[in-house]
Amino acid sequence: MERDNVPEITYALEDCPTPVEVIRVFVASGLPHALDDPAKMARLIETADVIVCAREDGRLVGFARALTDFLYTCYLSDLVVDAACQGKGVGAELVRRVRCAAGEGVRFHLFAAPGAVTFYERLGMKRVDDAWEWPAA
Amino acid sequence: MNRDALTYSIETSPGAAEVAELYRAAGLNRPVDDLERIGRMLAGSDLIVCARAGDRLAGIARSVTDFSYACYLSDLAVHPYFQRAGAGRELIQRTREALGPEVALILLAAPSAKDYYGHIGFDHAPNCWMIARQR
Repeated sequence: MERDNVPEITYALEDCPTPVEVIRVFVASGLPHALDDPAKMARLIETADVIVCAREDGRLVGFARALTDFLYTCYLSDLVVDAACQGKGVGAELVRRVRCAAGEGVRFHLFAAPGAVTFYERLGMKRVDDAWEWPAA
Repeated sequence: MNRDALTYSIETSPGAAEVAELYRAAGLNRPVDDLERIGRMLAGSDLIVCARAGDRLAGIARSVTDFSYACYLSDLAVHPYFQRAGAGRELIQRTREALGPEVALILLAAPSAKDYYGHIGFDHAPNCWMIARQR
């Protein structure tokens, strides 16, 4: 297999990736999404408790955003990986780093997009039967 | 005490001891014997709505949120004395008012509250996944 010149993917906690690059990775992930407004994305970035970015040659290829009290609960609101970089463990590493930042002791949960169910199963997550939502208007 | 005479407000720093006492009375499984941890949990929250009977804490809704897209209601507790009088529903209503209509409100129900949330207007969310707390 050709392995030369494959850029390494690096991971870091970031406070302020730009809204435009985050929107780009949402689009490139292939997930259905409604987040194409840079002003709204800027607010989501500012108000997040934990953001982990995956970059390849500086280019954003993965993004995870979580809300947490850093003690009891952590809600993973967004997890997106550029479709070109999927299948390389990027999503799993983003999840691992978010959990690490929020604290290993917290209850960690999320809502899976259609098609992502086997991914979360592979991570060892369990389906929750008693989740409820009051959707946004 | 008059069960109907509760006052509701957003609070930034309810006391760790009164919150621990409320969680204990309401049967929430939280680290109530460690006030330092309860204090950190409260400090790490983004939105706390309290119900009080006079000075006494009767109920709490504690959330983490970005105020623009998603809100996770982590704890909803009402003292047994004040339960069945609509305090839980009012705490949720006040939380939703603080968030505005664009924010989805999400929670995981305790087994004992299984039918409550559907009853007050929540939709069941079938696609939630979790890693349980490790300690």
